[in-house]
Amino acid sequence: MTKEEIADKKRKVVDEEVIEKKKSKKHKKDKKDKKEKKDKKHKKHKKEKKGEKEVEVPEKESEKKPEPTSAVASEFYVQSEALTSLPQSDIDEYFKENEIAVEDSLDLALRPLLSFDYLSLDSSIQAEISKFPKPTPIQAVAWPYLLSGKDVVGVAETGSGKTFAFGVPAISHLMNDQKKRGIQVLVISPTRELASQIYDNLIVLTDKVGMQCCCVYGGVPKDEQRIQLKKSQVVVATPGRLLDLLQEGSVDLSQVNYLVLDEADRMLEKGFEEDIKNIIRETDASKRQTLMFTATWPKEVRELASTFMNNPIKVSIGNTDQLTANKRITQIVEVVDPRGKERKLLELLKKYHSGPKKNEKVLIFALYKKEAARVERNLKYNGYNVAAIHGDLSQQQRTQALNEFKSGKSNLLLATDVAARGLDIPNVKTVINLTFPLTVEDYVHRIGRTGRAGQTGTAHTLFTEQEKHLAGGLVNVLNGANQPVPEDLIKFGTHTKKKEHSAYGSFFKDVDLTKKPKKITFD
Amino acid sequence: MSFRPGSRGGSRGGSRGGFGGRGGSRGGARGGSRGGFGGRGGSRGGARGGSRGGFGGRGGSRGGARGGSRGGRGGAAGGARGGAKVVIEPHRHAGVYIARGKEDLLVTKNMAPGESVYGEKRISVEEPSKEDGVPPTKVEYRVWNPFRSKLAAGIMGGLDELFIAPGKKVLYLGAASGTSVSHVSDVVGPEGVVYAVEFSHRPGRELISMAKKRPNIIPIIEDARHPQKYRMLIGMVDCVFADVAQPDQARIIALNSHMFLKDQGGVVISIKANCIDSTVDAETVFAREVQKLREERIKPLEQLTLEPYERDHCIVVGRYMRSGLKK
Repeated sequence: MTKEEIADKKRKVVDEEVIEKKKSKKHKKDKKDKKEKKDKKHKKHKKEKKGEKEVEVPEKESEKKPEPTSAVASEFYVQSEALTSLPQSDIDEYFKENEIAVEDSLDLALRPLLSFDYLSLDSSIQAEISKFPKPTPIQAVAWPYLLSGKDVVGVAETGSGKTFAFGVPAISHLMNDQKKRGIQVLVISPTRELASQIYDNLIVLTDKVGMQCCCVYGGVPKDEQRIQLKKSQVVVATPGRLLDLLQEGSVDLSQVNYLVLDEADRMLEKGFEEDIKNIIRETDASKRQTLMFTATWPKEVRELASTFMNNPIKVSIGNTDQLTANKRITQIVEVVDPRGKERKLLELLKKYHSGPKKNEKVLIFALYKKEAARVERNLKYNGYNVAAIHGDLSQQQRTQALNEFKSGKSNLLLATDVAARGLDIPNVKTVINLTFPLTVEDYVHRIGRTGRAGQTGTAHTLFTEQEKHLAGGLVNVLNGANQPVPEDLIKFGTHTKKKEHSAYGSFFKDVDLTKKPKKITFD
Repeated sequence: MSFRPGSRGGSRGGSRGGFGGRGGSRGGARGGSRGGFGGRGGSRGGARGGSRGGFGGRGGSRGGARGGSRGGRGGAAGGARGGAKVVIEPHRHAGVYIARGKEDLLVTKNMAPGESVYGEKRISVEEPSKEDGVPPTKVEYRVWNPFRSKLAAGIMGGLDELFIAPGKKVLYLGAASGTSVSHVSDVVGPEGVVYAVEFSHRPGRELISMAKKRPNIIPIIEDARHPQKYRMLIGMVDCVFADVAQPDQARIIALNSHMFLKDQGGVVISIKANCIDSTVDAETVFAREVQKLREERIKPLEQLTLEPYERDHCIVVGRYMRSGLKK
């Protein structure tokens, strides 16, 4: 019977692979082009690796034998010998090249997985992740700690492979766990689009290992979600809907032992802090492994981490300064008349999105949904095939728009700041800020859509007199990234307003709140 | 949801009872004085009810002030100004509350509802009625900024003993404009008194104008080095709080404690190391001041630095032993 079941699973997997191949043909072609360059360099290494693989096979067989004897299989990550024997200079170079910083209060000093060959997981998971050339930095550094059962805080840009950074250990964690019922893995994300995207990535893994995964967010009928929740071991949710279902008793989170807070800083910005705390309290703190991923590291996130996490290892990828833009992004700022913005937008689209550049992806940001709707109509009237994401559209329309943009059916996406952060929009070549955002931090996040994963990109911004109070901050960002500053922008002045606290006003110091007071108690 | 009175209702845990009762003359004087404020009866009644409800709040861990504590939560729930939902919880120090919302803030119940003292943020919460048929009343709280108040920074940092609680009489040395004094006034409530001593005249004027709206504050514009000058204005107090930032700080505190502080009363001192001696490191300055206090019959209980709100600052809490320290 067991053999037949395995055969059935393989057939299902094969069927799904066929479907996936059709969808991701274009992506593979792009990846293959990039791989060719890397493959040449790694040809020598591959020969060595083949030898190592032969040695690993008998190890796996020996590992499987003791499993039936032990009722509770405790997670234990064994660093492969090949990884241990690597010279330290290779690892140091890897850290410098990718700007990685690890704060490890437990002093585990686990080495990053520079290649998938150093990883030994279930064969079906291994087959899935081997479609990528090598682990991304956040994956390479986080996986050893996560597979060891540690809490991890990941500070990394969107698009750096976070979903697999927590998804692969989660599925591996589930397979080690004996019980199959109840929700054991919970992923909380701030927006519906992000939750849906995480679900799309996770379901690839869960289907291969016979698990159930479901996605819970608002704007969708509850009945179907209730049914799915009962079957699922892995749940991706937004806080509002999940709390709603919790309060009516449709969800039991007491079995959760793997909790992920994705885009934690954005959840706190949106005011979900109390919701998050209520959800976390429903889980059992003693067994729970807790992960947190965030693009920035403000004090609210630090407090949340220190409250709910157990000696977390903090992995920082890249420069996490909130007001520093990626230097691979070419930033162009034009000071224009507010009335001439839409005409200017059409000129920019001719420059960035016509002729040979027709297939390059362009992301346009508007500030409010009314503006976005008007601009969308105008672009369609001028013959552009544009997809839009803003508040006036229904959940279904937004999901469809994002899918069209991802698949290349439409290479023009118009969005408000609702979609600015969190959505993993692949290979955006150009970002156009039709209207400057409300804060300079949002500007940095917007242009962060491009220039990712080692690629270059362009950010073109239309600046008007209405935003002159933000000119100082923008000048600082441009100077920080070594970008030219137009004269018209400097005319507005370079004064930067002091950051104010929401409750304390101007009487506030931006100090490091992790400093603890010293207390002496006299007898 | 409503307040859940704990087993320590009516008094703070760890404090000793058995102190002498109030004298008849003081009671009479208080009654007469309160008669003059008849118009504020409603407001005072509400404040008193709410303040008494704060008695016996949950113990909780030391980190509760920073929002790190877990466990059951009480307090009134409701909408707050500014659009966000805020829940008020009693702090483990009676009379102090935590506003849990997007951020956890230290708050005190406003003695003069509708007015802020120094531009601080106010939070209004609807408190459900304890009697049937009576509509819910609104209670107003004021945010206590730890970046502006050393006492707030100490509470946020986890002071164990405060000696400032509803109904207490507090002698506040170094009142300045009255920023912290106003919050102490909120904490002690209408049944307590804050004697605020300030030497400088310019902030003293602001202190006096604030005291006009807060009947439990008695402003005294005098030099704290000569307590005999204002001895006629102050009765015996339960606690002395000092934020004078003077090199002879310990002596000033001792003079006032000898004259006004009851036996076993509390002493809470904010020490700024650079004002005492800027040539040695802060730890040494703190240790010296503690030793000076011992010599003046003040038994130190705890010393807490005020990171991250202040640098090279600390709060020392002690108990006044009129009959002397045991050697």
